Amino acid sequence: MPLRLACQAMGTRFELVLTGQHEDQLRAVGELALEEIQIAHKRWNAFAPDSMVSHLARCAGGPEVKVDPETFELMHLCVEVTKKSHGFFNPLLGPLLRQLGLRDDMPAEPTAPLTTLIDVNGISLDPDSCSVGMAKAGMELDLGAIAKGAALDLAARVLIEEGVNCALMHGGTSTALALDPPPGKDAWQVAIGTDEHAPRALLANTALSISAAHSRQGSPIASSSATGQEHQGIDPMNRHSHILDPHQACGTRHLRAAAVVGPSAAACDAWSTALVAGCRPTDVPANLSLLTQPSPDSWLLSPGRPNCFRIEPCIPATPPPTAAPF
Amino acid sequence: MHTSNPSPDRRTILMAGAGGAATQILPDFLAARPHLGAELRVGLVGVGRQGRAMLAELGKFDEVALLAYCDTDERRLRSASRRARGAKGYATQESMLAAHPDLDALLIATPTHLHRKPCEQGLTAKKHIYCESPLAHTLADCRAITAAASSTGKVFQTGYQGRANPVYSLARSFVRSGAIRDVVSLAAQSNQKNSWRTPGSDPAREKALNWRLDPEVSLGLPGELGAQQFDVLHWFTSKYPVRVEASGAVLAWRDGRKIPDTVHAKMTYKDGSQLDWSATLGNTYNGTQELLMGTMGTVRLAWSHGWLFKESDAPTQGWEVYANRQQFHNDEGITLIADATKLASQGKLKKGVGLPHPGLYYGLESFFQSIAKGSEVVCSAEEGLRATAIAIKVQAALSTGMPQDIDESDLTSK
Repeated sequence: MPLRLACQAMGTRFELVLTGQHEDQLRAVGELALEEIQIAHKRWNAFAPDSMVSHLARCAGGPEVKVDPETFELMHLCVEVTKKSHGFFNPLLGPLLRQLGLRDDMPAEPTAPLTTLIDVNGISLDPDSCSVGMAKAGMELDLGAIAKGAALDLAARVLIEEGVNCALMHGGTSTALALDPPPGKDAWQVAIGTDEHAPRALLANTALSISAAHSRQGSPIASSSATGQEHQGIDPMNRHSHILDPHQACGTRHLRAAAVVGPSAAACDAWSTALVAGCRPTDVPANLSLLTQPSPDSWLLSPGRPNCFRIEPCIPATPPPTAAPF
Repeated sequence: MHTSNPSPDRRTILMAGAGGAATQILPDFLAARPHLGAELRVGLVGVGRQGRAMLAELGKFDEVALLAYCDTDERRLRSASRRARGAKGYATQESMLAAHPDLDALLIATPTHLHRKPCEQGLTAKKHIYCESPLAHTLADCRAITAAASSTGKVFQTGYQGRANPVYSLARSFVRSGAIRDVVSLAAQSNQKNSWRTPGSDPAREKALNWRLDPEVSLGLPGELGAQQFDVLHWFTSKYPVRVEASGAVLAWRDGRKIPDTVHAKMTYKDGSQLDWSATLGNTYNGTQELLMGTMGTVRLAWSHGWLFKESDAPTQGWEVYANRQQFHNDEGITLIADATKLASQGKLKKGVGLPHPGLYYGLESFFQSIAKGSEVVCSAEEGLRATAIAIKVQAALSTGMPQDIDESDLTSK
């Protein structure tokens, strides 16, 4: 019987499904993994004043700040994906979202033009001292489009270290990470959407992240949580979009949804957001598998990618009425 | 005895905002970086849960360098190495001290029953010591640590964090200035959902890691969760209970454990007032909080936040027009914010809501300030002993089923 554990973090619900012989031992390991997710939440939640990213924002414009190595690695990944995606993923969009009326929290000090506040070149990373700096006061990090995945990566490491190898985890249903599949199965099957004929991702020791242009409400696709580049509710610039195109400063009109499978949940999280925001699939690293939805009825596998998706033929739920015999 | 109308600190105003009337309380904590004026080299003893939390906070101090850490558990050492870049790990405190004789201070985050030896060793080696709470698991160990601390002249701070918490400091000044008048009731709870089990790769390691569930050495929920809260309430009221009753049971995690996972305790003070304390590992509702109820209001404390709920007949103060009010069902609270006048003038009042760092940060900051600047230690070994002694009594009441009287001599270091 699989053991399920859950916790609230990063504005959503994380859930773990673990299988193994001894429930007490499984629970103890699972709680350690949940603790890891909570620690990630405390460090990377931009909406909590006592988080590390809030501390970094307060120190923006000053000297670099020493951070823990995991936060440093996450920042490194953020900068890397931002550059490789040509800015379609961007962890600095808080001031832009606020200007567009998509965030109603207190603004930071208005000290520099918006374009410099959201420029990732303003982030400096010093691996020797494990320090992060932001060049301008008013710059702020919002890791909502990557932190869930990063938390799952850390939780998975705990499970593996403690000898639990058969597990499936998800954060807010939009990012999932699978270890070994259940006994007798080749993979964990995860539906991309709620529709009976929705595509399936086949996961074994891989991660999956799904981003959707539509808000959760009315969307058939599981979507990411309501922070950062992925925002909830009505976008005045594009009223049906859920993710911001940073270059147009409006809701994205590119893809309806994108699913990315790869070894790191954090990377999948970031790249799925980048794709929906407008990034070209060819810019995505080759070790990631892509499935995109350009229109309501079609899903596209990126050519040349290893196939860990299964797309069923679209079958109408009820047969069409036959012609009348007259 | 009544005090006159509460006179709020001039630095404190109540925020105006949407919602109800809880009063939230904070001081000048918005400076992004602490300045100690001296470089400090520290070592960390124990890198389990609490040690790991310390690692996260230490990085925020520009002038503090973590040079080394130690733990007897190899996996934890490995895990710490990922979080403590640049610091070196050791299997024992002895080897760490031998390799780093230049350490200024040690942070002790070993299991509670293993505090005494590292404290004594560190003090003998002339190191300043920050020891996690509770101070120890027996009164004898508490007294031995206290004696060692008093003999060296080095800074010794017990990790009762409420005393360093800016929200709590401000709330205390409110209570002590008579804002809620006569305190008629005290209550505290610590609710969480967690089995307290730690996985172990073999029986010996599992037993060592699960010390909190070992009745031979554990102070149970009263020690590991309650002691912090007992200290806060003693600090606010300057009084200690004279009698304690407690009951508990294993209700949430029926896995053969002996340490109750749900506990209720009643502590009685000399003046007849009481503190009701409860804790459980089976439910998270309302988390961890303390309540001080007085004839003119109630202070509710929740570590990063604090509120004042006024009685209807409490006098209105001029600053209340600025108050941020928050609704809690039928009650309105006011959010007290220290340095709020300054923040309001800068249009940043809302930035004062919620502490910018976890409680542990403030405990460490005050410790480093005591070393670097000679500022007063917020919680000495003697104070740490008193709160720990109460927790030991609660645990004794729990394990024997008998009320425990608390004599003044139980709370002293001799």
